[in-house]
Formats: sequence, structure tokens, C-alpha cells
Amino acid sequence: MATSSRFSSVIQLTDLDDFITPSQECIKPAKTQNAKPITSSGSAKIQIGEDGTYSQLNKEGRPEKLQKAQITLNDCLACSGCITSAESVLIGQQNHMEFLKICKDIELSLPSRSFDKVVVGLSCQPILSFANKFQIPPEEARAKLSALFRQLGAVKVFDVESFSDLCLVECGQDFVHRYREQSSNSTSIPVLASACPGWICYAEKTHGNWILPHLSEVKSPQQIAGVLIKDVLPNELQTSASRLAVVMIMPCFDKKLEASRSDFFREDQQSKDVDFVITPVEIEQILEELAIEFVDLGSSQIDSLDGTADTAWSVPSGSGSGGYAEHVLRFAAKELYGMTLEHVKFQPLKNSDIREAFIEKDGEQVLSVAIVNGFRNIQNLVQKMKRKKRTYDYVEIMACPSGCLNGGAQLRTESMETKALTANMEALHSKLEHRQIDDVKVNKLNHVWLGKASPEEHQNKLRTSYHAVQKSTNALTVKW
Amino acid sequence: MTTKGIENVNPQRFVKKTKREVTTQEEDESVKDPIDEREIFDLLRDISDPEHPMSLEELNVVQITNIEVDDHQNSVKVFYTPTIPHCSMATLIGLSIKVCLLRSLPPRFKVEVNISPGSHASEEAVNKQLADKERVSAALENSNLLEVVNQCIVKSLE
Amino acid sequence: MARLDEVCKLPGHQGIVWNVGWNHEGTILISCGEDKTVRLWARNINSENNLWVCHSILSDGHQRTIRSVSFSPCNKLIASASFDGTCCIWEKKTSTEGNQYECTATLEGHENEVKCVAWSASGSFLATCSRDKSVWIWEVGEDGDFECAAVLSAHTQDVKKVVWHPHQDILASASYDNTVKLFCEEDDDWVCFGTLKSHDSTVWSLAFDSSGKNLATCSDDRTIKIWKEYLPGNQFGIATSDNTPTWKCVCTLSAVHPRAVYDISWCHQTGLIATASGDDAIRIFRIDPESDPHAPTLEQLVTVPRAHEQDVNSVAWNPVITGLLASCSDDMHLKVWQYKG
Repeated sequence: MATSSRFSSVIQLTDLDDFITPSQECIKPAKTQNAKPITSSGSAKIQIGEDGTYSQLNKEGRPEKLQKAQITLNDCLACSGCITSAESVLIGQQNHMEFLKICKDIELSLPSRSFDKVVVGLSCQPILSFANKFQIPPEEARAKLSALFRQLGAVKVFDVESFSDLCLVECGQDFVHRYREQSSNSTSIPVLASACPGWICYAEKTHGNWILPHLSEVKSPQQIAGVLIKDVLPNELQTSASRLAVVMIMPCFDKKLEASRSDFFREDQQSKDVDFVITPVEIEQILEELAIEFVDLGSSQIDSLDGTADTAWSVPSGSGSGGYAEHVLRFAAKELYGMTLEHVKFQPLKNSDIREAFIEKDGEQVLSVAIVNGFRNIQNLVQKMKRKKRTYDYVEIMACPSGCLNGGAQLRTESMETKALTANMEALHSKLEHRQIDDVKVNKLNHVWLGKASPEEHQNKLRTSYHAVQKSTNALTVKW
Repeated sequence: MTTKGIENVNPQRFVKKTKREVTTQEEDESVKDPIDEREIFDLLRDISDPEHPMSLEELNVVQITNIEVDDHQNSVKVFYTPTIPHCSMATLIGLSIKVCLLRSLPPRFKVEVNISPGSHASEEAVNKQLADKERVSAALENSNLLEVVNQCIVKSLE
Repeated sequence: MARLDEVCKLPGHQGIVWNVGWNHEGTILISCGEDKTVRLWARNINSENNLWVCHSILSDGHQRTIRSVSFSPCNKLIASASFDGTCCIWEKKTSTEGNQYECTATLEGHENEVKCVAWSASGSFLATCSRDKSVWIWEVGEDGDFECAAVLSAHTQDVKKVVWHPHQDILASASYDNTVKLFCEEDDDWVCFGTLKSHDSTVWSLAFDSSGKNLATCSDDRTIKIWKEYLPGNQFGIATSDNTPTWKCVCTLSAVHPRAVYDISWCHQTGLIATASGDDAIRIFRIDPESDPHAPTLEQLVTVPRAHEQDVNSVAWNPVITGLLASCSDDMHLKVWQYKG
């Protein structure tokens, strides 16, 4: 299947589907809204219309259209059956064609349109992917992508990284809290980062209850940005949260799974926090669809929430996946031990996808963090934890080898091998301006967003929870 | 995708054959008893469908004309016909047939269970899975699956 | 006229016996099966006829069928793979009561049935494969720890068998997807460098010859095939790409096995090839020494038609005692055979 590689390898491994087509093997019983009882004689008659729709003859013999059974991404997430085998089904709800249609409907002001405005969040990894592929400076790639989405109708284009400090601050505080609690709570340490939905999916489906308490409850920057945008912008844009499409540009398909979690659906607004996730490979398809050459795109600025356009672009210091481990180490060292770290150096172990850093006080190691990427290293970490061996205090986990810079839906070039490509991406990332958390900025952002919200409300906006997926025991659907 | 409840809500029902009389010769255990198509059919006819309270004979899933036996070569081949070409229960029905035969026949027999050619969308894949002794063995160690298979074949083994 | 004489028939397993093997000194026969036990058999030197007897039963390691067992090159460790999704490592502990094997590690990670486990010749790696379509390579640590070194998702279906090259850290795997794949270490990761396509159905097993330059495979398609390695820049005009060897199918033997061929063993001493088949038979072949090495022909030396009462699942040549072959079957028995040429 051509698309399978766009998910992380972790998600691919949990695919147990053997050979039967998704439509056959999907074990999720579809819910039909108006399931009418079939009479005992079993006299239901179903007709297939010329347009391929199914109708059922009612008592009077008149045909009533039957609803097509639909499997949503969220059904797939909640199910212990396959995951990627049903990709074609899965992506149906989240593909770029639907996104284009929404843009078109808005442009034509169609009464049937589902959204009124589009806001886009650009994550740095896809920007770097375009910069690498087209051999242009990252700033230029960023401006071109902004131009593309404005051309498609986006009213605002943000950097996702401009919201990620909110996430990092929360991660740091959460860690320090749990670190202090470790003597009374055996599952508080290690804290495992939860920004990678591929990893979360694996933890929920394969390991379940014993590992979930270790996951950081802080939402990923994608989801925090979604909530914030839907809280703050509808007023300014004179629309409602449910009519505002929030589109995130992300390096892998796993992020689509994250956006469709029911935890990220706001009942009060009847809207998803993030409506669409579009990846670089899909942007290429959009460009093809519209017959636009990427290099020919103009440039456009990036918005900021306070209205000042094109502020200098910077990304959090640390890994290309978002710098979680580095920030947590810095913050905790300061908070717990009063130490200000100048440089944080992560030392690779067996392979470059497992790197650790620690700090010592009076010759004793007091804090240890690690960056663990790729399935084999995740596996070793999880098995060590399972055997109750000492690991780390905090672990930044990403399902893809080399982390998000090498996300499954990043652009590949035929001439370049994955390793060289990753090295290039890392070089590009290291040349970006790296920033430490600016408390003043974070406070300002928090004020704009949350104002006088109570600490509980505040936490609700930034935290989420995880759910173990029960293995199906229904023999009629078991795969063997 | 699997629709709610039963897929083929209204399958065609076929008339059952009468049971064969057991001859006195057959009851005599000392006589070597060659196995024939009729005997295989009698073993399989009462297997019930996992979704319907009907037997494979009533649903025409197994027919005597789709059974090939070569007693001398220790070979039994059964071709079964799922009620609809997209029946998702096809592998489970095949597994039930296979398990029923493996449990009933002397171990000298090589049992092959296949879908009647052209009667199912995933014919090849299902046949391959049913022919894989390792997969069949592993499946029968799954207690949930085994329970359903046992329910299907309980009547036929009576 | 070549013969394969039955040396002894070994009862003991309660249920299908799936796999047989030898330790590297050729002194211990090992088997496993549906009864969730691993059994070790050795020659009873006190008995008159020098028969093989079971001297250890390893149980309580697995919850389901044990599909495969393998001795480490140092002969001190045994690895067993089970349908329960795990692989157990058993360590020999010598005490006053003699040798005991203790399960010292359980390797978890596969999503479902583990079908095969194999130690590399160097002893530094262990490979496992599963119905979850993946092949895992485990690195054996100094402290007896096993770390996952790679999870390889090259196959599209159930992986049936993994076998290491006799001298190098190269792994071959056989699958329900009808292919064989070859893996080697590159930088700090493992990569697939070859896919062998020619079988029409599940490849059940495979075996390298003593040089590691030839590979024999057997399949549900009722054929066996010989594959030959061609190095980059070879003088025979066989194209290679990316500076990696090409493995070419140089011989297909069909119309000999009337049913699936479940196992194949290539004797590193004599060059004899033995097959285990679903027709209850064991067959012995050799490559006709007169034939062209680039298009060899297989010569059938022996057929034992009713070698077992049911399917023969596995065959293994003793690595030291010339011509000694072990087999096992659905009929719950092992057999030891002596080949006489």
C-alpha cells in the first residue's frame, strides 16, 4: 500500500490485518441511525439504485434510502482491530481533497458549506521538508507555504511553534510536580512525553493500563494551538468555533489520528479543536491538483496572535521534534536544584536514536532525561519499565526514527537516502534560531487566551487523558 | 465493512436430505470401513452457521457433489459455498468444517477445505489460510475462537 | 543404493511435535511442540543399543504451543519461540542434581504468535519472527540482557522462519508472502538487502549450505529451490545493484513432493539435503556433482514414504555425526535416522 509509510512504523506494526481487504476485515460494527427492526419473517427487501445507493422498501412498498455505514478515524482509534489496513477508510475523512473542497465552498459562498473561515498552523518540520526538497532557505519555504494557504483562502497563518511554549511550560511544571511526588506515587516517574500520537496509539493499544499513568497529560502543541485558536479567534473573525476550520500542517499521518480523538471534540462548541491535518506529501498533491509549482509561489508573512505580523521566526531549543527533553531538564534543574544550565548535551548510546542527558549535584546524578526515537528503542525502554528497571526521570518519545524531522509524510527525494535526508534536515533545523522559553511572552499569551480563568479551567485547556483499548474477544471478528 | 448484525438477512433455505440408514456392516467395528463422500457429507451437514441457526446443509454451503474422497490415497477434499460472495464468516465456516473433519476422521487422512471456485471474493486468500496447518493450530488455541467453532460443530459431532 | 535407516522412534510429546534440532556438539537432540514443553534427548551410553532418551523436560515457560527451539553457539543457552507471543531464554545451571535449565529471560514485543527463533553464528544476535509480519533482531548483552536491535517490517505477511548465515551476521527469513528476505547490519541499523521471489506459495523453511553461498528453500507450492549468491562484479554476467550480492534461483525441483514441504536441512558435512513433507515422507537429495554449478540439478537419493504416520514437520542433520538425521511429526513422535550412502 503506497500510503502505509506515511504513518510511523509503530502504527504499522499494530496492523494485524492479514490479507483481506479493509471493507471485509474491519471489525467495527457500524452504527446505523435509523436501524429499523427487521420483521421476524425476514422480509426486508433492499434495492440498489442506479446511483449505487441502497434503499429499503418500507411497509407500503416505498423505497427509503438507507444510510451508508461509515467508519470514522475515531472508530478506528477506539478499536483494537486493525489500524492501517483500513487506511483508505481512515484517511477518507481527513484527506486534502476534502480540505480543498471546503476552501472552494467558502470561496463560492455556497450555502451548504461546512465552514466560514480557515486558519492554518504551520509546523516547522514540514517547512524544513520543503526547504530541503527545493533547496531554498527555510524562511523562504515558510513564506511560500503561507502564500499557498492564503491563496487557498486562509485568513490567518500561524507558526505552530508560536504556541508550543505553552505546551513546554506545562510539561516542565507537570514534570516537577510529579518528580516531587515520586516517593508517594510509584507511577509518577518516569514521565513519558505524549506529543507523538503514534507512540500514544501503541501505548493505549498494546500496553494499556500499566503504562498510561506514566504518560504526560499535557496536550501536544497541535492540540493546544487548536483550542487556543478556537477560543480566541472566532470573535475577531466574526464567526463561531464550529464554523472556523483549524488546519494544521504536520510531518506525519499519525497527527490525523490525534486530531480525531473524541477527547479533542468540544461538546459546548460542537467542534473539533483541530479540523484538518495536512502533511507535506498532501501539499504536493494539492499543488499538483491546482497546477502550481512550489517555486513559483510568492511569499507571505506569518500572523501572530497579537496582530504584529512577521515577528522573527524561532523554534524551541532542543530536538527537531519540539525540544521537550531539553526544556524539561532545564526547567527542572532550575526549579528543583537552582541550577541554570548553559548547554545541554545529549549523549547518544547504542544508536543515535537514543540519547541521554543528566545533571549531577555533589557528584550524584539527580536528574536524567532521554530522547528515544523509533520503535526498537521504544521497545527497549518499555520492556525495561515493565521489568521495573530504572530508566530515566523524563523521556521524550517519538515513534519515527530520528523523530519528527523524519516524519512519515515528509517529502522524500529519490536521489537522497533516508540517512542523508535526515542529516540534511537536522542541519537545517540546527541553523534555525533556537529560543529559550520567554516567560513574559508566555504570560502575555496566557492572558490573551485564558484571562482570569481558574487554575482548573486553565488545566482543562492544556491537559488530556488516555484510555486503554481493550482487546476484542469477539470470535466472529478475531483474526487468525 | 461489517454491517450491524447479520449480513445475509434472508438466505435461501434448502431442503434437507434424509438421514442415511446405518447398515449392520458399518456397525461392525472389525470390518475396515472405507470412507466415502456420503460419510463426509453426513459429518458436515449438521454444522451450524455461525450467524444463523441453520445448518450448512440447509444453507447449501456443503453439498455432497462438492466432496471428493479417495480412501486409498487418504485424501478428503471439501469445497464449500459461502451464502454470499462477501461473507465475512467464510473463513470461520471453513475452519469449522476443517476442525470437524480433523476430529472425526482417522489421522491417516489429509483434509483439504476450499471455497467452491468463484463463490467468494477472497477465495484464494481464504483457501491459503485454511491450508496453513500452523495458522489453523494457532487459531484453535484461541479460546474465544475455539468456543465458537465448537458451538458450530457440536451438533454434527453428536 | 543409498538408505535411510530408522535408528529409533521417540515417544514422549503429547501432541504435535513442531521442531527438532541439535546442539552444536551434536550430543543433544532438542524438540518442542503443542504440549508446551521443550525436550532434550541424549544417547543413553549405558543401554545396549545406544538409544536416544529424554533427559530433561523444560516446561512452565510458555502458555501455548512452542513452535521453535534453538541452541546458542556456546551450547549454554536455549531459546524457545511460542504461539503465546514470547520467546524464552533457558540457561544451563549445573548443580549437585545435574544439569538443569532455568528460564532466565522472556523476550516480549511481538504482537502475536512467534514462529521461529534462531541464534547467529557469532552468538551475538538472536532473531525472531511472527505472524505480526515482523522480524526482530535482539542483541545479546554481556549481562545476559537482550536488547531489541531492530524491528524489520519488510514482509507483508506472516513470517514463518528465520535462519542465520553460517559465518556472517546475515539473516534470511521466509514468509507466507511467498518471498524470502535477506537482512544485514548497516551503520547502527539493520536493512533488507534482498528479496527472493519465485515460490508460488508460503515459503516454509530455508537452509544455507556450509559455505553460505547457496540457499535451499521449501514451500507450500510443493517445490524446493536452490538459490545462489552472485557478488557484485561477478564474472558470470549476473547483474547486481547498490553493491550488494544478487541471489538467483538456479534450480527448482517440482513434481517430486505431492504435498507441502515444511522443512529443509542442508548437511554442512556431506552436502546432503533432507526434506520434511506433508505427505508423511522424508526425502534425501544431493546436488548432482556433474551438473553445472550455475544450473545445478538435484538428484533424489532416498525416499522414505511413510517416515511418520502423519505430516513430517521438521528435519535436522546432526552437525557432527555424519549422516545422522532427526525428524518430528504431527504423530507426536521424533525419529532418529542414519543415512548410508
